[in-house]
Order: sequence, then C-alpha cells, then structure tokens
Amino acid sequence: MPFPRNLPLEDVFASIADGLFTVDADWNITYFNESAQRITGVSYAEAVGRKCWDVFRSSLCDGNCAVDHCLRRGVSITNKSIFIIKNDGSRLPVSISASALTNSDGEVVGGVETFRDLTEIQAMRRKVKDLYRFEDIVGHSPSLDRIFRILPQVSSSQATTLLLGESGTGKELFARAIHSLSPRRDKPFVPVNCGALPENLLESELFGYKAGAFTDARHDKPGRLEMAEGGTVFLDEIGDLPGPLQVKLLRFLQEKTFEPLGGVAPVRADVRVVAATNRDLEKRVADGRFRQDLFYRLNVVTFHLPPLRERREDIPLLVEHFVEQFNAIQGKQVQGVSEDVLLLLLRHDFPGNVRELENILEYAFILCSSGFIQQEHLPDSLQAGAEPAASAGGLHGTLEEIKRRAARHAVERNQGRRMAACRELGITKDTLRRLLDSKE
Amino acid sequence: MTPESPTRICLACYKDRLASVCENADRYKLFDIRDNDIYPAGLLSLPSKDPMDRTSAILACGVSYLLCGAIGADTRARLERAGVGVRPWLTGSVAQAVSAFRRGNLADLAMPGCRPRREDI
Repeated sequence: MPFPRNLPLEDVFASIADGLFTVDADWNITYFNESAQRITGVSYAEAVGRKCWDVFRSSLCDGNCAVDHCLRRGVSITNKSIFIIKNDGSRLPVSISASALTNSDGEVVGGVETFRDLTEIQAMRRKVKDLYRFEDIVGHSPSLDRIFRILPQVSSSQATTLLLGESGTGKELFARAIHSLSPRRDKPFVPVNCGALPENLLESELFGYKAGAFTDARHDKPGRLEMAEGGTVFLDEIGDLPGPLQVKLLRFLQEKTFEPLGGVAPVRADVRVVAATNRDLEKRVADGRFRQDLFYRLNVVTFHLPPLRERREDIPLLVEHFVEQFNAIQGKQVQGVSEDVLLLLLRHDFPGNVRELENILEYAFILCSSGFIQQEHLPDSLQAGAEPAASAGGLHGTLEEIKRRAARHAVERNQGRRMAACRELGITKDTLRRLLDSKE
Repeated sequence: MTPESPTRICLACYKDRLASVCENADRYKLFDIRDNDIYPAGLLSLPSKDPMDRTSAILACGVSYLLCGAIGADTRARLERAGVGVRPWLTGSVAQAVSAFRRGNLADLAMPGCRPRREDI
C-alpha cells in the first residue's frame, strides 16, 4: 500500500514510540527520531552526521551490523534482540528491525533501523515467571496447572505416588516438590535410580546389609530406605526394577518392613515412596515383566507429566529460568535468547523434553558470553532446520508457493491439527483449506 | 640517569579503528609511550568474547590504560579493580587515539552524547 504523498513523514516518525534512524551509504546518520534520542540519550544534533556505530553502540556494531546484513543480502530483519550500551555503562535490551533504503531508480541509498526498548517487557516477563513457578517447577500450561492444583493435597497425604512421563520431563523435580510440600519436608529425600545399578548392588543399596552377609561385608550398612527414615525415597526408573526386588519392595509397601541382606529380623521404616518411570508399566504388567500387585500398590496416585511438545507455551518461561540459572552458575551476563531463536525453539519437538532444552541452552552459553543468544550459538542440529527471522530471506518461489509451503509445514508441526496451524499462522480455516488444496 | 619506564596502553579495536563497543573488539593493539614517543608493543587477536578472558589478557600484557568506545559498567569495574585505568567513550582511528592520549586531549574523541568524566581525560 503506497504511503500518501501529502503526509509529513517527519511528524509521523517523530510520533512513533520506537526509536528510528536512517543512514546514508557511508553509515552516516541522516535522521534520528525523538524516541531514538530518548532511548539512547544522544540528541539529534549530536547524532546526525556521525557514524551510526558511534551513536547506536550495540552488540551488533563492529562486524555484525544489521543494516549491512540487509544491504548485502537484500533482506529485511525483524525483531532481533540485542543490547545497546548507554552512556552510563548500563546495557539496554532492545529489539531491532532493519532494511535497506532504495531510491526511485532502485539504487541502494542507505538503510533504516528501528529499535524498541525491551526493559519493561523483560521486567514483566520476570514477574510473570515468578507467578508461574511452583516449587522448582516452571510452567503455566493447562496440563501443568492441573497437576499444580492437586499436588499440595497429594503431597500432604501419605499416599504412594507414581510419576509417569517421558525422559527429561522433570520427574525428580516433581518428586522433590511432593517431598518439600509434605509434612516430611524436614526429613531426608533420598533418590535411587533403579535402572542404573545391577540387581545385587541395587538390593544392598535399597535395603542395606548386615556384617557377614557376603565376603567383604565387615560392617552393617544401612540401605537407602533406612537412610530416608521419616522422609521420602524416590525410586526412579521403577519399571526397570528386577523381579526379585519387586517382591521385596511390594512387601515393604504392604508392611512397611524389609529385611537387609543377611538380616534375620525385619526392619521397620517410616518412609514415603514416590516412584517414577518412562516405561509403559501397564504394558510391562501385561508382558509379565512387572508384577501386577506391585503396580497397583504404586498406582495409588498417578501423575502423567506432559512432554514439552505438549506444553510449548512453557518454553519461554523455561528459557528464562535456565538463562538465569546458567548466568548465576557461570558468572555470565546473557540477557536471553533473540526472538528468532525463541521462534526456532517453539517449533522444535524436543524429544528429550526439558532436559534437551536445558542442554541446548548450556551449549549456547559456551559460545555466547553476553548479550542475546543468537542462532549461530545453537547446536548444528537445530541450525539445520533454522528459519531466518528475515521476512523474506532464504525463501524461494512465488508468494503463493511460499504460503502453501508455510501452511503445509504448520500442519506438520502441529501433528495434523488444522486449527492449531491456523492459530500459529494467524489465518482462517478456509484460507488454510484453500492453501492445502491448491496445487504447487 | 635511568630511562623513564614506558606506559603501556591498550586500544580495543575493530579493524583499524576503536571498536564502538569494547566488548565487541576483535583485537587489542598495544603501544608503549616512552619519552613522549609512541612505540607499537604488539597485537592481540581476540577469539574469546568472554569478558573475564579479555580482562586476563589485558592484565597479562602489563597494560596501564585501556582506550575504548562504549563499555559495560561491569566490564569497566572489573578492569579498574585489577588496576587498569579505563578511558572509555572514545571514537576514532588507532592513530588518532594514540596521539590524543599522548597529547592529553582524549576529550576531543568523545563519542556523541558522551562527555568524559574529568578523571577519564
């Protein structure tokens, strides 16, 4: 849509809340609107005629200029998160958009860059994150909300609890939350990974042994159940518990007693059991690999922890959580992820769930010391499928072909759910149907 | 009479000019100022962007002053705590910066909107 010729452009630019500046082909600033002056603290008189890098002083200046990128590649950049340094030394997070400027003959005569102060948005995000935090679990998706609503009541009971969920969904975090919300919170929380130890070792670890039980058993050794007295034992990978130990655990759940290896008298322990597995326990029961009676004993209260791909709305909160955590651990000043990286993460399927997201960010922290994590900081596997933030960059074919591809990919990403694809693309279901039905 | 000990200065550069942001610099250029003359004292290319690595590099080279463009308050504080004098908010070529330091008129190279503090000059 053409811009009306008779409108005073300067007044229009002066009225917008985003900072805006233009440069000529030699990177000299030719226009610097009022918001740009307010955000940077540099006046119009000081800015115009000076090199843009001396005025803007951003994390992209000195080699990674956004306008230069647009000029070289003939693309536009939208919503790239960076920071600028103000003259008091503070880092101000901003979101920039940039593109080349051409004259009526199509010749490039410079560039334009707009930038938005993200300080308030970031502060609001931090507040929201605190609102959506339950113990150490971060999220606000409906599937998690349901769990959060009943977790306190379940925790305050003595019921054996079973946590089911894919690997990396945070089963131990939930187990710790159950413990810390329970009356047992001042007593030990003892985790045991049933899949990590061979059967004999697991038995002595869980139930302990008496001196003389085997050749090297010179002293009594208390098991994890005994060590958790008054508290909670977390049995991770319970689906991998060997058959004979299933019997022993069943007895403990029924009678609250167990016999250490080499012991002759039962030992009583007041311990709450929280178990977890990523296996399909009912299938293992059907296959005869897991005792049915133990399954029913464990299955008093069951939580199904949703995989990350089913609670994508939690990804931004989780990203902020991990960035904060890694900054604290590694003493860095990473401000977050750029908008295009967030978009990429929102579209990733995360077969490894929250742990995979954590690992991706830990990798990015190796390459990024400060500022915002950009696409080039991500592992190669993620970059391969990366779609640039550039509005048209890297896309080929006619506009109609690009739309058709976008529609098809959105449906694939949403596992065939057309309404979800419509929401993602911001189009009606009729438009989606038309795009999917039309031929390339 | 013993010769005057040189003052070693470090310029946070991008190509042949001062980097607009110190943390963006891709190289440090070192100069010794002795008997009012300037002597090149080396070049440090900077693969690591980690601020702590960079501070260590500056300290290892025995630098007295760092001349740079914009600098984050935390980076500056870290350098000053380690005893390096920081002269920030400067713009210009390497030659202009070295010459201005020697003549004591760094204020002429101040970035737009930045008036150097008296102790920065």
